[in-house]
Amino acid sequence: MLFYSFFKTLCSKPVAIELKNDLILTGTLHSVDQYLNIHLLNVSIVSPEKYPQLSGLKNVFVRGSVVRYIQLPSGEVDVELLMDATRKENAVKKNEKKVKA
Amino acid sequence: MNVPFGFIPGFLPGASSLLTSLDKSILIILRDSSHLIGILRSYDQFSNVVVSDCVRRRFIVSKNVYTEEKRGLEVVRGDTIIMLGEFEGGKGGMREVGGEEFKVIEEGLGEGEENKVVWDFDQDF
Repeated sequence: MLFYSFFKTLCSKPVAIELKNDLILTGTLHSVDQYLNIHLLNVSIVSPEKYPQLSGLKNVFVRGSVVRYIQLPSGEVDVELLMDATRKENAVKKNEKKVKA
Repeated sequence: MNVPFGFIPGFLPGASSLLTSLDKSILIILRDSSHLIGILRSYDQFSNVVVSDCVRRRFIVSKNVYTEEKRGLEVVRGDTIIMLGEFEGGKGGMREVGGEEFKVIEEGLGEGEENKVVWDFDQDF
C-alpha cells in the first residue's frame, strides 16, 4: 500500500514509464490503483518510429505487471517523507510479526 | 462519457479505473504483439475486458504493413494485456493488406528482420 499512496501523491505530474520490453511512454499521471496499474494522459512515445501503430493513442491504461521503471520529476518527491513512511511500515510489520509469534 | 455522480468512488481519489473508458473505442496491445481495436464494454478487477466490434490487427513494422481480422464480440483475459488506451483511429502511416498477402510477407522476412518489438516478455505475471 505504501507505493500506492506514494503514487497517489504524484497524480497530475509528468512521468515516464519504461515497460519491460524497453518501450518508454511519457505523459501525465492521471491515476493509479492497488496493483500499480497506471493511467496516463497525453501520452507520447519516446521512439515513435518503432511503434507507428500507436500514433492514435492519447490516454493509456498500463497494466502494473508490465512496468519496469517509472521515472519521476525529482522536485516532486519528498525523500524524507518516503523514508519515514518506509520506517513506519517496517515497524508496523515487525509488530504484526511479534504479535503472531 | 459523463459518469453520473456517485459512480466513481469518492473515497478513492486518484484511483485508477477503466470506468471512464467504457463505450469508447480502444486499442489493446496483447503479449503476442497483436492489437485489438474495439469498443470497451466491460472490465473487472483482473483487467479482463469485453470488447465489441472487435478487430485484430497484426503488424510487420519493418515492411510497414498490417492486416485486420474481424472478431466481433470478444472477451480478453487480463493477463495477456500489456496496455490499452483510447484510440482515435488512424493507420500510423502504415499500409493495410489482406490476410493472404500478409502471410506471404511474413514468410518472406529475413532472419533478423522479424518483428523486433517483443511484447511477450517474462512470464512472472
